[in-house]
Amino acid sequence: MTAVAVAGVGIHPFGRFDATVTEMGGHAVKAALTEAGIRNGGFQAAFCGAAYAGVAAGHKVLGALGLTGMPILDVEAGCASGAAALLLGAQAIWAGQYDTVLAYGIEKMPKGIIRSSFFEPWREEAGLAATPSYFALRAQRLMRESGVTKQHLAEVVVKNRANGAHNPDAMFRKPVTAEDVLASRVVCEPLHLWMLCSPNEGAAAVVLRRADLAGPGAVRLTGIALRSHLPGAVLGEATPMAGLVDDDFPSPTALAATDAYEQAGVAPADLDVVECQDTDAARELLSYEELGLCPRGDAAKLFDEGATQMGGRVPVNPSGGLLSKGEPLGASALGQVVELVRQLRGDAGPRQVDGPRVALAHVVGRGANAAVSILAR
Amino acid sequence: MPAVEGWFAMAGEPQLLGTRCTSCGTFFFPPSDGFCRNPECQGTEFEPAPLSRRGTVWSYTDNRYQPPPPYMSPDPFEPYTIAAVELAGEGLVVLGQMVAGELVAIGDEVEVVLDTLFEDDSNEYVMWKWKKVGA
Ligand SMILES: [Zn+2]
Repeated sequence: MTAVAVAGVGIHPFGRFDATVTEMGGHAVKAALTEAGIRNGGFQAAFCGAAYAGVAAGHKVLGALGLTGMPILDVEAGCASGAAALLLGAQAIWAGQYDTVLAYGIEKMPKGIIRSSFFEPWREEAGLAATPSYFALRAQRLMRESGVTKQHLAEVVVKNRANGAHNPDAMFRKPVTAEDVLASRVVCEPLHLWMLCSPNEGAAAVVLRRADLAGPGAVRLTGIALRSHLPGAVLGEATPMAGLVDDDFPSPTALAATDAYEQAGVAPADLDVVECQDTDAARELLSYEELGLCPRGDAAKLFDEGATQMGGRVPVNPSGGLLSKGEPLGASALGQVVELVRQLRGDAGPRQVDGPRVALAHVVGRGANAAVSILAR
Repeated sequence: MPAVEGWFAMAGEPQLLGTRCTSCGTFFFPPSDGFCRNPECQGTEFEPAPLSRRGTVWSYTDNRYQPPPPYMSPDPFEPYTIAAVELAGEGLVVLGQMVAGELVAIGDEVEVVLDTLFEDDSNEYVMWKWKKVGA
């Protein structure tokens, strides 16, 4: 099986803009194609992740650039939409069908608490469908199982916002203190407003190419897996209202990580830098355990050791994470990949991690889709 | 009148009405029909299954913001607590609001009650909620 390399990356900053989703997508795609040094005809298929962008949204982006004619697949997998696009692109190259493909993600999210057609109307009427409360139910469990305190949750925000201060593509670039975070209003216990990421807008794009056709120093995509939740998992990420009680169920994140580590031939101890889904501060800590950065129940311990801080053993979310960048669903996974490619190339400027060789990106969301990508140089 | 028809008993003791697969015995709530969701089972027949009235709190949180419509919010909005409750007999976790004003913690024993979800000009709509045992 041929190896897959990253030939180019591009991003439109995440935030709130006057631009249309099509314009933001075009900006990111152009940047990635320019970096890869290709024009129309230079890629043979396009895969676009989006959840709220409407019918054939990816087609519109390439249409606006005059770059149509190849197959254009619009992909939706909740918060993992961008990773699903990347997965399909990588698989097409691994299958030998194409030499070069474009994976991109775009989004312009509605403001405020996100409604989702995933929930039945009765559940919304009964006040049992709001997304932040599901995050909070999971956070309460983590606090009970893993020694996580509200102070930990605040400190995760402090860490990520400090990193995000150095990221020109982030929405929030002002560092915060734990006191600031705990002074923001409670949305649902234990989560305060600043512990939750903001749905927003943006786009990101990645050009994948057969490694033998890319330059010798190109970053490689060595593993990528997407998994859904096992039937009967409680809450999981699917947020069913009723499920069987069994905390030993592997989560979608753990399943995807296991697959991706096996593909890439690496173990969690080999990771030098991680971008993970910090939709809320507790979600980042839970990911430490599910990704195997620490044993089950040790998330708070790993954080307290400073391992996930810049300069630590495995810095997590050097980009500032979704807590700094905000979360445009279709684009967020590819935004992580853009960050990690820059980190692996040594191009991350003031937020550069020291000499990383292996990097992991993780997203998880609605429909209980979790995706893990592993990049290496 | 019930906010959702057929999911809980409106007469006698408050009780959630689930279903049980006649082939494998798995309980479902909300009541299931169609295909059994046990992947090992080919069952398509379900019998009514009144569920345990009590359970223990698996997790909880409080909603301090007003969910967007179609949430039937009282005016003005009142924060409310939700609890994910592990039923005593079935191994199911069922989410519900706590009755107003009750604090709760993981592991607390709660029981199902019926309480107002919202009212319009002609009706009061009731829903299942959780209430601390002995409270
Ligand atoms: Zn069955």
